[in-house]
Order: sequence, then C-alpha cells, then structure tokens
Amino acid sequence: MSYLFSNKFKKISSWIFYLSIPIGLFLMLTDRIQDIFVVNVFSIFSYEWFGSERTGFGWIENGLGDEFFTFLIIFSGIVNSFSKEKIEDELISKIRIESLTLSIFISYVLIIISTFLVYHITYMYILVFNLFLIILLFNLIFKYRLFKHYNS
Amino acid sequence: MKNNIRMYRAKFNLTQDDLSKKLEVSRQTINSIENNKYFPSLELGLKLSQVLECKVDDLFSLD
Repeated sequence: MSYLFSNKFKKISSWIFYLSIPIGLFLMLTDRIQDIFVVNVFSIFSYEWFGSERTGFGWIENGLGDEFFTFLIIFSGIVNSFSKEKIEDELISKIRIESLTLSIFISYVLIIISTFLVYHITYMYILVFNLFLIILLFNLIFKYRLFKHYNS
Repeated sequence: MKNNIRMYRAKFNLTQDDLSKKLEVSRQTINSIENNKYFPSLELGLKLSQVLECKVDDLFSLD
C-alpha cells in the first residue's frame, strides 16, 4: 500500500514550498509576521509570554501570519517530498527512505548540540526552526540524490 | 553479489530502456542493478527472470 501523493502535485507543491520559506522567514525576521491577518481566534491554551497570565478556552486576538506560513511550509513540504515520481520504483523508494533517515539524523544532532550550547528563549527558536529544518533537509537531500540518480 | 543481467539483455537484444519499460521501472534503476549499485527486491528479481526467460539463480549469484 502506497501512502504517496500523486505526481501531479509535485510541481505546484515545490513552487509553494520554496517560495513560502523565504517569504515567511523575511516576515519573521522583520517582525511583521504577527501583524498580518489579525483576527479573533478561539484558543484552547495560550501564554502571551513565559510567566505571563495563562488564558484558555476563550477568544483572543492573534495575527494568523505565522500560522498561515507554518501550515503552508509544512503542508507543501510534505506533499512535495512524498509525491510520486513519474516512474516510481523500488530504488526511488529506497532513496526516499535514506534521505529521510539522513535528514532526521542531522536535525537531531543539531538539536543535541544546541541543547548544550544554546539556552533560554533562543533554544525555543531552534526547536521551532527544526520543525521546518527536518522537512527542508529531507527535501533537499532527496532532490540531490534523485538528480544524481537520474544522471547516472 | 554479482549479476548477469547485461549478458541476458544482450541475448534478447534489449536495451536498458526496453527492459525498464517491460518491468515498469526507470532506466536508471536497471543501470544501477547492472552496475551492482543496487540489489533489487525478490519481486523485481523474479520479474527480471521472467522477462529474461531464465532462473533467478542464473541472473544473480554470490561473490
């Protein structure tokens, strides 16, 4: 049983993935990501900041920019990485699994190193970045290995 | 593990592309198998033996 997406989603998801990463990163680094799509949302649990008053099961005002880009990057990254090649055979599956394994190893090695070298809120940022790093690394390693495979 | 796929393919006058189409895999996969860069699954090995009309033992052997 194959859990892969159809090949027709490959191209569009690739465009969305590799466009939403720099746009999301730019908006985040320039502190503008929280200022777009500001609406009232229902929150199950939220801290404004560590140590601040906790709110839960209620409506709060929130910019949906970060949620929107998080969804876009993860969804398009997953669809792109796990959609079939034009000819999907067992060697492609092997390359995909090896790329996923390598990306998980690299990401968690970075987390382990960060655990002992980075502290406080910066460490939280690294954990959030790692959320995207695993999928980005997987995608890049898989694409590079496929490029090598197709040129063999 | 070594294989004689190239020899059997030549016997039937098949190119890597022809063989890949019969097996529904990519040409590069056939190339990787022939060059011992990739060892196929039992299923693909059996399909190869079926297309090349020989036993799996004739195609693959241990070093």
